[in-house]
Amino acid sequence: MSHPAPAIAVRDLRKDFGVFQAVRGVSFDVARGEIVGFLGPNGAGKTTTIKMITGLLKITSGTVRVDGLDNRTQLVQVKRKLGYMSQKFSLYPLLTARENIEFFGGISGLSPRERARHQARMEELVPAAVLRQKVQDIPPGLRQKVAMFVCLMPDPGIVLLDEPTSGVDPEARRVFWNDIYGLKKLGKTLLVSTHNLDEAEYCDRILIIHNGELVAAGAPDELLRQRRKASIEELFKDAIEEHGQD
Amino acid sequence: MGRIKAIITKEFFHILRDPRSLTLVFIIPLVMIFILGYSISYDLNRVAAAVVDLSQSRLSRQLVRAFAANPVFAVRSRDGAGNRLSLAAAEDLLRRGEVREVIIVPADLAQRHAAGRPAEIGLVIDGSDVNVANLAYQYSERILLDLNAALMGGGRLLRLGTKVYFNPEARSQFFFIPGLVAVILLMISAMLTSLSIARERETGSIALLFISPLKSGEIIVGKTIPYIIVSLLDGAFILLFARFWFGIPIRGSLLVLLLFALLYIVAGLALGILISTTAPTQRTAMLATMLITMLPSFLLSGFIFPLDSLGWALRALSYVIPATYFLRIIRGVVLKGAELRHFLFEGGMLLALSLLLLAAATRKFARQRKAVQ
Amino acid sequence: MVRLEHISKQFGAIRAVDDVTLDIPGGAITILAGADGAGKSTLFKMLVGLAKKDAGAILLDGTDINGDYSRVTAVCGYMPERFSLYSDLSVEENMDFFAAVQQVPAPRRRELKERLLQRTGMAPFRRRRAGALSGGMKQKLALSSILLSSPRLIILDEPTTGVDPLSRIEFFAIIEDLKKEGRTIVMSTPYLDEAEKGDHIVFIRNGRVMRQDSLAGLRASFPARLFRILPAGNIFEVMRQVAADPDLAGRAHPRGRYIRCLQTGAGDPGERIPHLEMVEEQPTLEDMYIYYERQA
Repeated sequence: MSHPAPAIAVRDLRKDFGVFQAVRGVSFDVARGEIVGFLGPNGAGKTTTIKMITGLLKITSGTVRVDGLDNRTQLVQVKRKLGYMSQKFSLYPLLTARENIEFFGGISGLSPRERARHQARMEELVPAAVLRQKVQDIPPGLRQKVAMFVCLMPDPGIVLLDEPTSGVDPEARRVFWNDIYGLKKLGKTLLVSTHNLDEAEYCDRILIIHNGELVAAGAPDELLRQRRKASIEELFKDAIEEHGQD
Repeated sequence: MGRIKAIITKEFFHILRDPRSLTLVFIIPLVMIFILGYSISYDLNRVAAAVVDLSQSRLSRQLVRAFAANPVFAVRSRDGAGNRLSLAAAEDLLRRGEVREVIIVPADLAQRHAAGRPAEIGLVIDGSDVNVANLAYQYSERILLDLNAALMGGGRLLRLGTKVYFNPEARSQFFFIPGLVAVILLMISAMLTSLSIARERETGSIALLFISPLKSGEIIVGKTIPYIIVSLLDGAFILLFARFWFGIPIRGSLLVLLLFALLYIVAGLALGILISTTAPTQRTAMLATMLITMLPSFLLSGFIFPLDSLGWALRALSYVIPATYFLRIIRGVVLKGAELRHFLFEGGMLLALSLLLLAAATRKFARQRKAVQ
Repeated sequence: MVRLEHISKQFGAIRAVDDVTLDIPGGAITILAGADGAGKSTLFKMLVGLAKKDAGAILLDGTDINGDYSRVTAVCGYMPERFSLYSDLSVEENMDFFAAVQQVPAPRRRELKERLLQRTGMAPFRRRRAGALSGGMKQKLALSSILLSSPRLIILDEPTTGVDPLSRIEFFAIIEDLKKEGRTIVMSTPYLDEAEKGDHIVFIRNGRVMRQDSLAGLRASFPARLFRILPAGNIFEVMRQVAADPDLAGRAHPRGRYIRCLQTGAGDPGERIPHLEMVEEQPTLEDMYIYYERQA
């Protein structure tokens, strides 16, 4: 392998907001080409961790390495490798899908030729009629697709998705995961946080975080076997109860 | 009654728990008065005047005709019963705001004229409206100069002895600020209720009120009472600011003013509820309230443009604008020391408008609530 | 306990609810499952009288309410979609307000409030402002507030949407307690894994009922079997073959290391998909929902 380092290596990561410890010493790796699911209750530290990986949030202590690069000292290079779709990432609702793509393509520093290529690919993925619609009028499933496409325009090797499926209906959710597999097929690495426990099965590995600490990590069926649980829901409950609630 | 109390208590919690909004309710009027009080000015073009002719001579009639012939003035010299105006009757007209100027022709005018001695024509001007006062004075002076010239070729036979009532310093702020208080009070009170209901709509809690056993009237009354208190305090606060910052003397009784303000506030609160029934969000409610309360109150109440100068359609509209009546009341009480009895008509109109708006708001609210029945 | 018959509602050109007939059995949990905009909320609003139905009848305890919605509201607690309580009021103040509005006598209110605070685990937060509660806690407070009038019928419009998984599990435990007390619960959800916990499940799509039955009933009448296949070789290669096969395309999707595939008729997909391992599994509600949706 030309890249011996994992795509993302997080070591003893901490984040304090005043006296509140949002993330309390989290360590994990995401291997190249892997889909890792990030599960946990609200306020458990999922979004905070993802934001620290992207460099959007200052790290209190610990390290994050992306492709072996320290995101504190080499943030510019790290940013080029990362694609990030935030929980609340929204396209401009009053602009059409195409105008959004043009805008975000424009600010992402892509060459005109690359932009044209992306544009063409989008035309294949989404019906032209939808591209002409204002984003606010596009159904949530397709809107999500456009949003993800926008995030992927700079063609990052590592993609961080923060709750991409909340508010998306069942059919669209399945289609969305198919798209994620498409990315995996292209060799991309994905870290996906989710509220929907049933999506854990889509992932190669899952991380369960609670009160800022990792309480379980591993392949879903492996974890089920180890803990002798029949469903992810039971596993989730078990992992959190074992860890103790606040 | 217990249910209304529940709503009142809850609204008070909302008010007290949100000190920022509460502060705004008191700060916004200050800022508005501050900015507008120093900047607004305007022109006028028609003045009601009364003539008290104590001389009843050929010369005095010539003088009265000169005033009557001038389009700037609308002159009257007789009262409702057709009798000549007495000094006391004219002063009463001035106090009620029915005339802006009283011209007093002295009894010895003819004698003095015959003796070739100058006579002094009394001019009493309502100074509460500075622009009108200035205008009235200048035109009156002009008319007398013309008359002098006609009588004896430029000498000074007739002299003006001017007395400015109510606002002797002729400060325009004295006139603007009570008007601003009227406009602001309406806006704030309407905004309080419209935001309060729009907020419930935004959070969805209104659905629970809708399907609760509460009567629509109970909800409206419960929502109104706490804001009456807030608005009254706000009104008193603004008046005190006007008193101590701009030095506007409150000549009449503050109690009388607050009594009228109560009626006026209820009209504003009911208007707010009416607006909120068609506003889906707090933002729309706020913009709609500002538009609906401020524009007509500024433009059609007699605040900026005198009612006489409006076309008949707008004039008719001014009769259903609460600010029209409260404006007269507040100017009268603050600047002229008018009393309760002077504004029975205005007070009655305010009461009628309040009840009408309250009924309309309840009806609209109830209708919206019973989407089905 | 409640029966809706041929209910329809039109918004302009859109048929939000289109000839819906459904039963809400007493003492059970009925779950309306469907995507955003399927008509679930509109249906609930028509049930409590917050929206006017264009056609159809609502039967409560066997008799037509005939436009007298107070019959429904007198026995029901309704929690609207995206409902949040007064965020500037404390937990207790919110509960007191709703109890007063519902005319719950003071002694009974105090007793019920204590019980609900204990049961939901909110007792330590009774003086906390609702706005400072977590999403899950807010939902529990909203639920407690509507329970103060001791409703027989509990109507919850997407109570768990956007709520985190742990809170959702806790919320459901409370719902199951309410069922044990003999109350009737009807709720909507976009989460099909959650809908599996219902006694009576109603699939709603574009304003119409696609299917309604118990989970077992739905499975029994489901015309396809589900196989979980561990493919031999690279999963992407195998999926490409699957996508090219007209018999399999649209029936199979990858999930983790496995491919899940529906099989209608005899045989199994193992004949066409090179595999190391193949197990037949119970189809989930999501499998069935998507199947029916694609049929429609």
